[in-house]
Amino acid sequence: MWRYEKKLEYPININKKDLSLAKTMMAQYGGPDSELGAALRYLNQRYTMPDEKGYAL
Amino acid sequence: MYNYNYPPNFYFDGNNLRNYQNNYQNDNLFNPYEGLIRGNLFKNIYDPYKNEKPYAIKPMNNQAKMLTDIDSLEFAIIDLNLYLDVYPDDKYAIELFNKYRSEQNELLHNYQNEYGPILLNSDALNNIPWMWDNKPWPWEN
Repeated sequence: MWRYEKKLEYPININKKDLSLAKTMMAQYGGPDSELGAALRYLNQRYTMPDEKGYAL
Repeated sequence: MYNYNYPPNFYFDGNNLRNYQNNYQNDNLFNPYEGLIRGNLFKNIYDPYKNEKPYAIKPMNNQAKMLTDIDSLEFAIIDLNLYLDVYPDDKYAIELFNKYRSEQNELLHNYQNEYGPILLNSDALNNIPWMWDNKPWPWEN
């Protein structure tokens, strides 16, 4: 179901490096209670959706 | 048993909802780029936070510009996909969806011929040597 696409959805252009912000963002993105964990739960909920609209999301 | 006609009521006030399908055909959509920087293709449900202004994308070079065009069309395609899941009989929206889809296919084709593959089904992979693991990676400049 998944394919590697060598591009982003929205362009980034990083001018300044901020390590402490980067650390916070990595924790929000991949740490405990993270976006990544939530996203994976939402994706897996599709298998028990009640209708085709839910499957298609 | 299930409510297949559920409209997302919380997005609309009553009047908007009633006229939604007719209204939005009359120039009620942003173009793909304007939609991308707002995160919303539909003018009547675009609701910015306080006095927030959309942030314009300024591509640094031709490659970034082509990618921005592709991103814009991709955003429009996904937003129309979500709309069509709720209003599957909207002929105009399906036509628009397919117009954007074929435009994006063409842009993807041009981009990949010039700057290397984005997807593994790209014609650019006919070249020797193998181009898939060449720079740039999406998160690099």
